[in-house]
Amino acid sequence: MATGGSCIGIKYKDGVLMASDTLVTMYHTKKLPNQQRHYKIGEPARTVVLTTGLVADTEYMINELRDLERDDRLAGDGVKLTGPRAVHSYMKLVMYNKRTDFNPALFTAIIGGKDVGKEPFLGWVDSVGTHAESSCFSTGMGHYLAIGMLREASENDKWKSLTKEQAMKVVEACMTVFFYRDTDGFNRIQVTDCTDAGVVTGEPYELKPTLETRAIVAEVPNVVVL
Amino acid sequence: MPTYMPGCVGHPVVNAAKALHQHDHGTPFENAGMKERSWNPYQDNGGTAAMIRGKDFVVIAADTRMSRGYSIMDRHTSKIMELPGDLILVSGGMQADRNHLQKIVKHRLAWYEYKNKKTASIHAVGQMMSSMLYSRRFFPLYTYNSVAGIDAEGKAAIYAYDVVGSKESVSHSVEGSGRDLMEPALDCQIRRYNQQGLGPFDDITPEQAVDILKTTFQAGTERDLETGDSLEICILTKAGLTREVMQLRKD
Repeated sequence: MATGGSCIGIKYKDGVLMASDTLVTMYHTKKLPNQQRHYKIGEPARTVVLTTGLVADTEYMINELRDLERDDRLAGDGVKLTGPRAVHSYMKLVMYNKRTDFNPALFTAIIGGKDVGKEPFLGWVDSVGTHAESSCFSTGMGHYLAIGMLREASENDKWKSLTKEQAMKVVEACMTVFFYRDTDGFNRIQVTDCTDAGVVTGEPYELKPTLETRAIVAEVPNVVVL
Repeated sequence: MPTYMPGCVGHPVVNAAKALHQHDHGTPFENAGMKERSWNPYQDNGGTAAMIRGKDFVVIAADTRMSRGYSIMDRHTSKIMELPGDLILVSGGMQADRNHLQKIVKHRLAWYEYKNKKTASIHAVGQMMSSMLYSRRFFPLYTYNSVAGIDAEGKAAIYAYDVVGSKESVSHSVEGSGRDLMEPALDCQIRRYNQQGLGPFDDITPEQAVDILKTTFQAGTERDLETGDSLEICILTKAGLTREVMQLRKD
């Protein structure tokens, strides 16, 4: 089954940065190396959803969220069901109900966004309906690898003084570590920025990792380099 | 292969009772040797909640850590819910089921108020919780619950339940991952079992109860990896509810 890899999200003072690689894996093959896995929700988009796990179930959930967009459009009353907090709430209910019917949506999602004039929002839901709201999240294998770096940068109220440049440094560091250490990792990544101006998904780009084994080994004395 | 394949006709047969006792998410090492594991509808999100009852007050304390196996998912998740009529519901176990339970309890109590023109008493809610939990006997809500309140005569009451609603009126309760560590401490200090010359600590004051709970949680946090981060303490009296937060170890 086609799955998407680790994702991260971090709040900073003006919004939320969300990142993932552009790889869809089919068991152990790198099936689709250039997939856009960031889903923007809302017209105009104010929310972005990133998932780790089954792409099919993700597509199903995004279709459900598109129904919310349609409802917004038809009602036309200015009340948005597609704000980040609303999307998080809706997703957690759908995921919980599906798990209760033994028909789970087998992915973990991070939902980020910023409504104009409100604080940035970052939420997380998993396949059983467990949900949380925090200053940073990391899903999949990446949870073990990145959460330390992300929390150090943004936990408690540190995110309120984090600039976008600082947040991007942390994001790129995390994505580099995923590439180094996660077997499903990939160095082609995409970053989405959610601010008052809206949701902007950047073009995919390659990270330039510098894991040179020879250089590391050479620093250790008395080791024979073959 | 996972036992559930999307697109298959029909649902997988999952023994809910068996699933209840499995651990869904451990370290990556726990699954060494297994290619894939089946999806489990339950998850233990850890954490501990405790209550001590005095004559006319209840002190409730619950940590705010939500974990999954060896990961901390969130450090600021509350387990405590205020119900109408100055009652408190505390649930340990699975966060998603706790959320669902809190919602349906709130809904039931809102309707109780509309139909009966009064808020439900602690004894009514105590009984209601038991039947609500039992109605899910064959796919239980993975929550360890207690409710506390002051009844019309000014006496405090705590009801503690197991996952399927077996109800017990108690003077103190501890639920959750730290239960094995903390309940003996409270048995010793509150009930004073098997201590010569001492009876139960019935004339405990709210300050003493808060102190005992804080110390017991400190102790539990030292050894239980799923308890920590911060502790929410509520003191419930006839006058109402006061809240305080104490920091616990973050590791």
